[in-house]
Amino acid sequence: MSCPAPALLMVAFGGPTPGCCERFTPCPGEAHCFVSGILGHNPARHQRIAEVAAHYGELGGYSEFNAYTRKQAEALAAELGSRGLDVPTWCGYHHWRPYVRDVVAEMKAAGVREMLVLIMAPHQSSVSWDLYLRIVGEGIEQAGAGAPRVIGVVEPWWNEAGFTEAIADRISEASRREGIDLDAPDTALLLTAHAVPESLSRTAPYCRQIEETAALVAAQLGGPGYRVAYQSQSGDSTVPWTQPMVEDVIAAYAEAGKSTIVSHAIGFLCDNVEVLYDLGVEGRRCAAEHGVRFVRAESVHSHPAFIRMLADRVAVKLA
Amino acid sequence: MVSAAVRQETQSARDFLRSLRDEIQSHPGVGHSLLGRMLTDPRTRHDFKILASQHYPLVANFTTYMELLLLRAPSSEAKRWLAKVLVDEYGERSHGDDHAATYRAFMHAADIAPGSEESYPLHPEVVGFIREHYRICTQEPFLVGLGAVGPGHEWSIPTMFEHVMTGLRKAGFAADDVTYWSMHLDQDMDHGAWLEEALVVFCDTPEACRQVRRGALLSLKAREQFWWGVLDKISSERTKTMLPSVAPATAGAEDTQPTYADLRQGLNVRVDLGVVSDAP
Repeated sequence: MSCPAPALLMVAFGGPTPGCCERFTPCPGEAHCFVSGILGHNPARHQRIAEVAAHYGELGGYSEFNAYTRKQAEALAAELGSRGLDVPTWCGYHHWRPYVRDVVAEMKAAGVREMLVLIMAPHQSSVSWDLYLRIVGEGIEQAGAGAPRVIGVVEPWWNEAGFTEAIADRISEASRREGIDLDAPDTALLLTAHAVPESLSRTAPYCRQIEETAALVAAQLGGPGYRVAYQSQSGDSTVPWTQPMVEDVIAAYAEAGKSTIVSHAIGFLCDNVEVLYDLGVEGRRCAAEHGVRFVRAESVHSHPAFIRMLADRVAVKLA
Repeated sequence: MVSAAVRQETQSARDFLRSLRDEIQSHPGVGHSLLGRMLTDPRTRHDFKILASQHYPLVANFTTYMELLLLRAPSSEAKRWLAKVLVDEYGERSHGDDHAATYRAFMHAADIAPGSEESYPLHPEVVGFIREHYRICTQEPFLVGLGAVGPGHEWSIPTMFEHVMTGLRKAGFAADDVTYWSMHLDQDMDHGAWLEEALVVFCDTPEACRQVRRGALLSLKAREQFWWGVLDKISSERTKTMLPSVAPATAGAEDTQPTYADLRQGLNVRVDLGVVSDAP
């Protein structure tokens, strides 16, 4: 079997879905395995692993991350199809099944000879962009002779209009739904991304790109004031992470007399557990403690503007 | 005959040291994901070439931290533990090769050409680790320095190196290539035990305990930052070799990073021998 057309491999972080991975006996639950896969098999981190796994437990024990990514892939394939581009689209994850290495092997078995890689992370750091590329390379090495060849990687898109439009639209939707005027003096806009250790932010454009995304989103919303904040810092870390943290900005907004905060996780592409728990539960709790109403706008998911932008960039690479 | 008061003090020192050991074992610098994932992530010789290029300056400077601390030790009793460890570092139990020389043999096995060991751009966290330890060993009270090079190193290294050894085996290194790592599993257990006996004597007041703990935690914080730096390098460097046509996120970062040779030239360490009596 051979597939002469280049395929698209979408690479993302991944999230736990039902199904024992059989790494531990007895099975501690998918969320535990998922988190221990990220933090490593190390007694020093058992407490932290249990804490994070408990967040998943509060939300049902699993993550919709992979389902959201598959929907994005389907929407992207459909958009490309509407342009006459028949691009077989595959999804592989770093931290959960189907792992990128397994997907590359499946692509090889399906006769795929060439692939374009799309990194499903909007902002670049070594532990997202570089690491995802690395696991693609490892998958190719592991698949051996006949593995699909990388013909290109979709350029980063943190400042692309389709991405920032999609975010702005989600924020507008949430504001309309909740009857909030973003320009009101007592309303604040909070745009968040995953915190990283400063060690990593110093060598990559991660924070600069987040700031640029935020500025473009605010411009598309007509220029309301906003603050960028970082979330989901590893709780047991002793080193400095990117600042300010969400809790600090919520407190500062409360002190400044804001009564409503509209938030959007611009560093995430779907409502995964970091968004639902760290922002949606803990962020909301923090705001409530300060007497502030907290509204979380949905992630971009398969917003048409976002999908069109991805299709534009894929099409350029395939031209 | 040991008086009850002394026995009680010794007991409380041992309690403190036991809790400090536990704290060190659960520190994220010891349990960094780079180490914990040695078992599950693919690891290659190239990864260890990068790790070695970043870790070598730590190895090469450790003896100097100890020597600086030796100069500032308040008593012969304090000097004795440092001297015993230093004798090992100079090569007593490694066929006369000092630890840096043993490490260079590992570097060569990891495809770093002899003579080029000091020519790799260093991540800012590597430089930060070295500068922080020189600061601790020259500017902080003696017991803070002892906490850093003592428990901060000797009680954490066997655990960290066990993880590294897992990765080295997966990457296909032969036992002879990784002598530096394997010998530390034994030697640092010994050093840790000697250290405990020395620390029982020094940790005789709450302030002394506080200083030792502070030193250990300062060192481990620098260690956590160091591992993040190594992860940053490994993630990017491997990508460069696998997909050379794609610019990594860290493209350009190395342009301003000093090599170890540069760092050595720029290091200006001053020790004030007038503070030898600062131990509580």
